[in-house]
Amino acid sequence: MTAYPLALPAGNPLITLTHPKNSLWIIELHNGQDSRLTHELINEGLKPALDAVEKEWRESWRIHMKDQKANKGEGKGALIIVGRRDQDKFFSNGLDFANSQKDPNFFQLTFDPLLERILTFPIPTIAAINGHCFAGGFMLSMACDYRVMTDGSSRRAWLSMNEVHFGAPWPISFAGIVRSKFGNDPLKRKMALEGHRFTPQEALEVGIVDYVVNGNTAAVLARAEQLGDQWSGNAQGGVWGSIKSELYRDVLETIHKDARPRNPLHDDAAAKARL
Amino acid sequence: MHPKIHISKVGSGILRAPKPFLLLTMTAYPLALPAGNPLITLTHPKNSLWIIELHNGQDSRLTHELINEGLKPALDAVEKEWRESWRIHMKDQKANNGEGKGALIIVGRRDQDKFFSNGLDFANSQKDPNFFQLTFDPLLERILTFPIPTIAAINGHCFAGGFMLSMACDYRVMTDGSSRRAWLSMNEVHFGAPWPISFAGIVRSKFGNDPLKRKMALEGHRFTPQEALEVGIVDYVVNGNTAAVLARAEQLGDQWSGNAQGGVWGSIKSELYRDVLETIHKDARPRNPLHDDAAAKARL
Repeated sequence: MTAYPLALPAGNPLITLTHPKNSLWIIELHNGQDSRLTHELINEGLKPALDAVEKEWRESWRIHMKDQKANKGEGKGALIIVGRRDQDKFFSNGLDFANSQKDPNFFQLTFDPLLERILTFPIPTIAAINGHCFAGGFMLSMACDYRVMTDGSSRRAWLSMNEVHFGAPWPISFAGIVRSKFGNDPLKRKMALEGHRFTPQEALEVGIVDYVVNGNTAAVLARAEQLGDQWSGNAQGGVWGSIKSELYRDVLETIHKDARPRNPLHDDAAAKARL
Repeated sequence: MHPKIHISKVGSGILRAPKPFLLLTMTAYPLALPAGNPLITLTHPKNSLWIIELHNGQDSRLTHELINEGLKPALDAVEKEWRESWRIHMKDQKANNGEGKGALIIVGRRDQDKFFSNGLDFANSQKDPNFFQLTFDPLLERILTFPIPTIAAINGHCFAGGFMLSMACDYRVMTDGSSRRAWLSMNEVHFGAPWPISFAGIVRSKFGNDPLKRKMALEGHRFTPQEALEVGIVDYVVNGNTAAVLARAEQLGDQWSGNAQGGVWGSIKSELYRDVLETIHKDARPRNPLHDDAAAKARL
């Protein structure tokens, strides 16, 4: 049984998992100040944390299924992912891009599976965006069911897919998610090609985030908890995750195509050969 | 089996003699199906309109029997008759410019205002592991690609499988709930039923807006008629009860029945919904939450 708080990985904690009540788990990202999503954070932090949450929720759900009336408090669940809690500047600054490039399998074996896991997680997932949310961090938040963001009044906070600016191709998983969750092509263009920096208000207007909260990390987390309480009971039917797998069937099929992101230098060499 | 005489409603009431060398069955209306235990009734009030009334008890659960022995033969009869009319139209489009029109309305039990359809008989459908693949998904596919405009006349509560049936139609007309409240809901998330592949395909295709899909599918929201109209789930809301809803649906049918004459209403839908059809043809069973849990238990 998990002892909380659970800091992972043990030797060099980059995330902390807490379980403040039966129906709520919180993952705090704290890889330095800006929580880059490195191999270590994903494979030795997030993955075992998600396993622990799912295992515990399922144990509760089996109790609920034994006698739904008598055990009607069991089987509820919601998971919040929040940036470092003792600051307000960052949710996550994205990938450690240079290092991820050293591993040609990073997206296929590490990052895409993470997004798929969150996208189909069997309980409601909420990104509590308590600061800047860039690139891979933005992707992580989009894989969640809900997004709650600070209004940026005490300290500005932006959302941006800035890969276009620093020359990083998109992994297959994220384009799949964007195509599925955003039907509007000018918005996709603004996000992906213009690399627009969305203020919290802009993000709310176009539907990238669901709620904006006046205040900083504590306020964002409190609103995320409210949202968790509102929907945690919908996990009790046991089909929250499988319905998502059907809603996002096209995204999953895209991810399973297992294609590597394109390298702009390779693209250019191919073009040079024909032009 | 003896052929029954169909009195054409076009022109001066021409008696059509059966062709003796073909086993040709012409429909006698109203057609109650299945014969021994009628769960639906098909009527054909004019040349360009067919109406299927669901009346499996009060709340019209979509059972094996209703689908396979009610809806399927009814859809076959409608399509057969419309095609016979369309072929006449195609022989001489000017002279026969009244032929080949068609619209199909599906309405809940007409002598009440509480239900359109309460969905599947879930417990019984679970007993047949092939229910979705062999019975329900093919029904939705048939309606989704039907060669004439289809209109769901939502005259009461429209839940789960009933909501799916209405979404497969081209149009949805709903009571405003003023005389008796009526809701639309995909409540599977609440009672722990997985989604068949066909319906997720239809929702993904007809609703691009992700917060709406979340609201419908994961939150299991109960939409009032007004909410449903605002977000585009229904196309028209009608003040009044079943008779008023049906009248509005007939108007809509008259508005679009001529678009069937080109003969491509159905094939254009097959292209519009190509992704949905490809999804359905993947032939995948809905996931059983207990099986999912057993698999998770093995690895966590």
